[in-house]
Amino acid sequence: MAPFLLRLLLLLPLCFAAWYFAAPLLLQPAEWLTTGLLALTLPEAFAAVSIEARSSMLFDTRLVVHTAEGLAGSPVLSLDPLIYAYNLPVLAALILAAPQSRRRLQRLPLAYALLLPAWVWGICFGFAKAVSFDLGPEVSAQIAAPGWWLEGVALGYQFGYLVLPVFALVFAWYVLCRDDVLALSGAVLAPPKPLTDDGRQVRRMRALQRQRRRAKHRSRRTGRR
Amino acid sequence: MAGERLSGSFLLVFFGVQLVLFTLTLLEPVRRALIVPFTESLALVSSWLMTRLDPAVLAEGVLIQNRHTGFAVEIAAGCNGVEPMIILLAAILAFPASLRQKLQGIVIGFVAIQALNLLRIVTLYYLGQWNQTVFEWAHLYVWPALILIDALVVWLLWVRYLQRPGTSNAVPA
Repeated sequence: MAPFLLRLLLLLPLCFAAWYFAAPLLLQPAEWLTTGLLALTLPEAFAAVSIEARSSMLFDTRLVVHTAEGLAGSPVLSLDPLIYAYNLPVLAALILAAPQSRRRLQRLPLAYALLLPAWVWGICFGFAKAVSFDLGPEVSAQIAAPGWWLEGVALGYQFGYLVLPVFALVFAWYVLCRDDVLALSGAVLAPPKPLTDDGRQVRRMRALQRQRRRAKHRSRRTGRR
Repeated sequence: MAGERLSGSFLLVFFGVQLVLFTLTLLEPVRRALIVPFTESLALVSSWLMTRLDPAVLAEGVLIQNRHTGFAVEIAAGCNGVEPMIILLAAILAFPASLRQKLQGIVIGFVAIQALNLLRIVTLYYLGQWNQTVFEWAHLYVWPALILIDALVVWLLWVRYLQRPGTSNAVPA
């Protein structure tokens, strides 16, 4: 346990640094998915999204706002996508610090794939919340969203920001590093493999039954021919 | 009990409890009755701690302010340690142990998470006055990760404690 924690604390800053510098690359699939999802669900508000800097996504909108002087324009929104993605360096550090795991590096792409949907959820709801609530009544009137939709956006945003990064991280760690979780906790969380003589006999009997069924099936087929 | 091998019931309870509790925390009546008063009390405790060392600190609701510079930090949802507490609570409830052992785990976990959370609030208050970029990094990425790891470590230590010889949950060798 102590060596694991030490490795984890040493790896965490390295993983955070690598994650931050690779952020534009890591966020690219999130940008594609966000574009597809928002074009489907909010076509009247969403125009395009681009990664502007390591911690900024710029959203062009189809909405119109008027200034006090009577000038009109479309607002551009800037969101920080990394607030939904901080779980990746933590998961990477947990995987790399694991005591038993082999193929640690091979698990990293899987970790990324498991966390990506949670990021996209957060980014999409972040945009929906911004256009529904943050840009003022002139903009929210253009969306003309019913009350239940606004409630859903508020809940979805909070879920994506507060809950999903943590939930996805725990889920992905358990899925990818189950053996390590067991080793670290010293607990037995898995259903038992039949190790006793009785268990072996049952397995042998089942294998025999399967063989008999297959042989019967084959003989029927050959009989038909 | 812990020595008995568990099936998927651990996962079912673990993720089920999380889903229920997380949903509850998002509901407005629950936020008003529980989350906001808890967050305010957290602000009070942290400002009380900080005023022992720094008389410039002033607390008002969920705001902690420097009375000279006007700089303030707000303890909002996500800064109160509720989410890692829920993860830990779900993991403890899902793991087979006696009610007493679970309560012990929950109390120790609460103390461990909130102690680190107080440290987070204090450090963020001073980091914010020193450097805004470092404050943003610590606030948005680093501290949430550290508190989550804290919850994880508490759970692992609690389960290891249950496995020790002499406790009623010890795994037979």
